[in-house]
Amino acid sequence: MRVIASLGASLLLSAALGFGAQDPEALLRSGQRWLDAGNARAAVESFRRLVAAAPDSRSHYYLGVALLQDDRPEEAVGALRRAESLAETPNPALTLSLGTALLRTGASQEAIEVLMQGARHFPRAAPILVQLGYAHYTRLEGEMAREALRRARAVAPNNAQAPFYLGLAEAALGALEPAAEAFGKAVVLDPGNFEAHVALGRTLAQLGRPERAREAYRAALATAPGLPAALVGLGRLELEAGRPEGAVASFEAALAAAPRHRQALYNLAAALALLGRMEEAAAVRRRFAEAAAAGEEPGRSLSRTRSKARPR
Amino acid sequence: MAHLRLVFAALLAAAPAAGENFVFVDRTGEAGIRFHHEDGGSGRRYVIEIVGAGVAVLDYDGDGWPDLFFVNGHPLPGDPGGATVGNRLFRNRGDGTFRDRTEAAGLLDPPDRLRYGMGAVAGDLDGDGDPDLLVTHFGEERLFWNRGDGTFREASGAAGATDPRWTTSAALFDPDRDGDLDVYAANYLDYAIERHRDCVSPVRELLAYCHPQEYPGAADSFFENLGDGTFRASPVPGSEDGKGLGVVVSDLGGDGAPDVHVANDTTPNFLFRTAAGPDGVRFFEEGLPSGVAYNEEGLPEAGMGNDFGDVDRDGLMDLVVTNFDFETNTLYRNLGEGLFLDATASFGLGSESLTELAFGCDLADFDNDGWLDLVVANGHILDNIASIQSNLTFAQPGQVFRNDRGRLRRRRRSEGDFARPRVGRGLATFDYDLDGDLDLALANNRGPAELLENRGGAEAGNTVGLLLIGAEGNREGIGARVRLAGGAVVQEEERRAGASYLSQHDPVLWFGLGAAEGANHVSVRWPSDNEEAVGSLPAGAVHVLKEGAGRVASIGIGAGVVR
Repeated sequence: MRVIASLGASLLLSAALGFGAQDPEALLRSGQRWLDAGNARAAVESFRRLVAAAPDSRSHYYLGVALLQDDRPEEAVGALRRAESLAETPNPALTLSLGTALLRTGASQEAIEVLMQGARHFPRAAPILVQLGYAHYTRLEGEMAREALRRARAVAPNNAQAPFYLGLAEAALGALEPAAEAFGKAVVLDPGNFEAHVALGRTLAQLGRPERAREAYRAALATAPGLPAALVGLGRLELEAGRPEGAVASFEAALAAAPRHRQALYNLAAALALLGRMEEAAAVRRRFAEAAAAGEEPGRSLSRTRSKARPR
Repeated sequence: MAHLRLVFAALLAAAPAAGENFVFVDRTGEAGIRFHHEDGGSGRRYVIEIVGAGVAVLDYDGDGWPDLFFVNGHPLPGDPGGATVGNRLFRNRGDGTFRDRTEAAGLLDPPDRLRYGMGAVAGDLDGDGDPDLLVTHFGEERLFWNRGDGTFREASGAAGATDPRWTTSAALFDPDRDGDLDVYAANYLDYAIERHRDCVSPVRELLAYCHPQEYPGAADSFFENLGDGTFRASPVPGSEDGKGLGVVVSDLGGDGAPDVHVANDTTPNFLFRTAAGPDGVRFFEEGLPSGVAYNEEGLPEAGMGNDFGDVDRDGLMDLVVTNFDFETNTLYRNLGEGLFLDATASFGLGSESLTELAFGCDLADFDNDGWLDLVVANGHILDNIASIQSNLTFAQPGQVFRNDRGRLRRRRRSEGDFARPRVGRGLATFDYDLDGDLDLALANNRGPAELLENRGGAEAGNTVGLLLIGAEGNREGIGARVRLAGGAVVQEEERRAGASYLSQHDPVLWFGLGAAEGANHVSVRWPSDNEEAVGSLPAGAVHVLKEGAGRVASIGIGAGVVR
């Protein structure tokens, strides 16, 4: 989702800057139509022909974008580097795409360098700042992530991605109050962002505010009915409040959508045991053990996802 | 009888409640505690360097003043310093100072006997009325018999209480109900210097200490006390996959059969129910069904230390487990019927413990209001963590969480010198100056040990201490449960040997009473299953309770006691 969103932003940026307004137009339009249709493979072929016909910065850029969409980030980096070398002036869409592609290849330090340079050239380009913040976030550089995302929020107060990723960065820093504030802003700007609703719910639950957490989970479910993460969050709130009956209903609903959801299984077993339904609890525990052995983990709590300090 | 050599002082009534402020103040220098933990590191980053060490509180000379035993590391291959002072015993002189009595007590190791220590636990293993000392190591345990004259004698071959593997925490208990103390010893990793691997951080490609997943776990050990000064060692069935660091014991079922919780590092925690049978002790691992193996997400955490305590004062022992950074310190609410629920958020611990890597801990009443507070020693395991994750540091501040009627809240103004960054590991609580509040002994990794005095706790509320002497069961009443009514709440506490992280707390059980001038009713369920009503007890004293005889002695505590 993150990369797709970034690609969308870069295409919007390129359109806004008139980046695609050169010949040969037919190949360009063809490739763009394939991209719009979600057929990245066909788009790549169109843009390859475009590159052959007109090997300029624009052609390589579109090829890079299509390759990235086709989940071929290494090739995308090559095309975008070529586009960069042919460009006469810095281009924000190109910078964003190249940074994104580098991030996808795991070259996060290079990505940060590209994005930082872009941020210097285009200090009001919020998508670049968001991607820079996210790149820092992936490198556990929470404070730098926070700084970039705060800048993004300042230059584009209506950008819904900036507060969402800022919330993630704050949570990664253990700053749950600012995280809750940021997630709250994200859901105001984009009420359809169910991930932000769930993140807000989890953060509020960790802060010990169950009623507000419940509201956030319910908002997530209003946007994405049956969303397991939100149902599990609601179930946990019921369980902690001493209402195992309600918890069972939530966990079972989550498992209807995701039968091997580890957290749902674990907590359903606990709720059943509290209700004295020991045989059912034992059966669910067996399912949990199978899911655990299979290494299936739902999205980990936001505040814990960055615990990668231990070398592997 | 060691404990009867107490000087009977006139009971001093503690000051009435004057407020709830207390703060930890560094008294290490004034107290004369000079101990520096040597990790033996050479830059190779052997994983054992970052685990130690612990501290045990014991009254080894029976004078009524709690003494301290600190465990040390040892030079490892390539260590340029190559020296260590070894473990150290500090005798409490009763005037606010300690004196290093390691050599006089026979605990000074000759150079060829120095080993890489981890933790320590003290208890009367031979039933002669004084605490013996078991020291865990990266390698075999060492057992020191207390001769009763202020000196120790090392048991040959550790009298069978040995395990060649890497033992961390140990706890003493009596699961076979034969009246003597047995040992549960947690083992960590199946690791040897010869099998060391170089590990790098995934983020910065820096050489760093290996994740425990790089090495297999090791089964824990049970040392059955045979009653003749020897032990029979056996692996604990069901513990094979564990990576144990913390051990704490509680009789959760109230049936006299002790239960053992093991905090495992990145693998599910254990909760062993025990049963005594004709063929010896049987262990039943029930971490998952009881709800303490995983956190609320159904994920194992990187467990370090642990402690039981009745946080919400419902008469049931809750459980805290300290964990890695970006994991909470997880607090499990005991719901009865053998079930626990991760209630970290509703207990109030959900946000404040995220950025710390936590080790030693204690659920204890530091402001004498009758509610158990929580102290946690923190410190990262990666000495280069600041280069890997910019918002983290190797040395980290300790934390105090005050219990506000069942909900814990960070109380920074009480942290005082505890808030100074250190590479915290072992932590033990005890009233070293017998002024009526609980102080802290800290065993830090590659740094100096610390003594932090609780200032203001005694003024915040009255207190009563209980020292137990068993008659039919073990001599120290380890495993006894005390129920005390007085003050705002009814309190229950257990006498334990081994908790926190590699450490042991005060052998005296302390109860805060608030403004109450005494306990209205005290009862003891001894390890022998004998129930004994002691009646009322005045505050401002440590009362010695002997099984079958009630209160046999008292020593006044308070500001005037420290000479």
